[in-house]
Amino acid sequence: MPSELRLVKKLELAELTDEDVMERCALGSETAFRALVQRYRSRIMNLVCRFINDRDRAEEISQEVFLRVYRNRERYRKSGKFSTWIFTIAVNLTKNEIRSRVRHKGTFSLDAMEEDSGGQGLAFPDLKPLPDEDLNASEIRRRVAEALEKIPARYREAVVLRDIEGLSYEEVGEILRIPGGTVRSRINRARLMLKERLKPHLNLEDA
Amino acid sequence: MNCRSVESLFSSYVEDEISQEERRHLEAHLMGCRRCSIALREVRATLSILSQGMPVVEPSAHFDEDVFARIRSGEGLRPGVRELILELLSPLRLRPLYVAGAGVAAALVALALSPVGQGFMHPIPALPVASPTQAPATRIAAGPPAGAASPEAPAPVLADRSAPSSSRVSSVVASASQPGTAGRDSIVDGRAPTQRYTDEIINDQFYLERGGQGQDPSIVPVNETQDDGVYIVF
Repeated sequence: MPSELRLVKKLELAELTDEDVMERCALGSETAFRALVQRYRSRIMNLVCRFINDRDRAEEISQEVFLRVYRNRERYRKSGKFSTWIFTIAVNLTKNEIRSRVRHKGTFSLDAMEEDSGGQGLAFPDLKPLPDEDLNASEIRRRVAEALEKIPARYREAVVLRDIEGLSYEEVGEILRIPGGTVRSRINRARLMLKERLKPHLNLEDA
Repeated sequence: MNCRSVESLFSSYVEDEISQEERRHLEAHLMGCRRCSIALREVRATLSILSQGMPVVEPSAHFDEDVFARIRSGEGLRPGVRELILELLSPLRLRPLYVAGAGVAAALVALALSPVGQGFMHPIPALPVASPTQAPATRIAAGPPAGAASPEAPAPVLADRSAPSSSRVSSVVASASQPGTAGRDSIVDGRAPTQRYTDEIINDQFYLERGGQGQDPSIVPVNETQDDGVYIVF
């Protein structure tokens, strides 16, 4: 394909919605599939990583998500949002991973935490206020990630999709396959749990 | 409104998705409850931290190429045996199976309780085999269904010139084509029922014993008791 024509096609794809690009992908366009990978690889990777806190495994699972998208491209229905569809695939694969870890390790996060500590035993984060509490933004983010890791998976999934990915309650319910009332209840409960874990780092002046 | 119910409304309150009445009760509670008031501020502060985002993880530089290489190699395009088993056993996948299983079980129970099911529970013996001298129509009824006829099997005698009128044939076929009901309700072809339910037999015997011909001599109607001449005088 001449480079000019390829550029035109790329520009065309850039203007299309995710759903339109996915429709082209379903018709067999490899370029469309590449565009979807580029659009979503970072979001999916971060979503999975927030659930399991294991970068290498998160990358493998994210690749698997795109393989599933490709495998099921003809089953995609344009009536639904593409983001909801691909997030559902990612959440389901992540749930399988968590189940597998719980089955084999007793609890899913211990091995990841052990790796983080450089193999020197388990490093449960100490969330007590430090003597000179002056945490920068990246340190607070790290604490948030650790606090998220400690709450039960069903609450973590809901609050990550809502408060970090910024999805609507309806989308969260669709992805997790739970009714709206349960979504709200889980998100509220998750926020209360996080509040308890992050209490030492909360700034109540602006709240 | 107690502290627990107020806590359950924090998210809705912060996101302004609360009814007027709930808002009124919640704010009234907050006025008098310092603990809940602080907890609400902490929830707001937590949301503020969450909105700042999380540590961003970038995919590796070879992420795309890895995906395309796996597609080209065929890996991941077809689910592996392990993946199929895991998916089959995962609760989400099993949920429809549970529902289907419950549906089948319910259908079986309903069938067992229905008149048809009762017929299975009290099996009706097969109808006596039609004699060769019976009308051709009966032979049609006893023969196999047209669709199931094998090339070796003799074809049903449909073209017999001596066959009765088509309406009679159809009625006989209709009665014989329902093996579960043919014995009990074979009024259509004019034959007496060959088999009855057990309770029907008992009832029939009870009434027959009290009938004109089979009357039990030990049972004497009260108004026919013989006068023995003994009376009680008050």
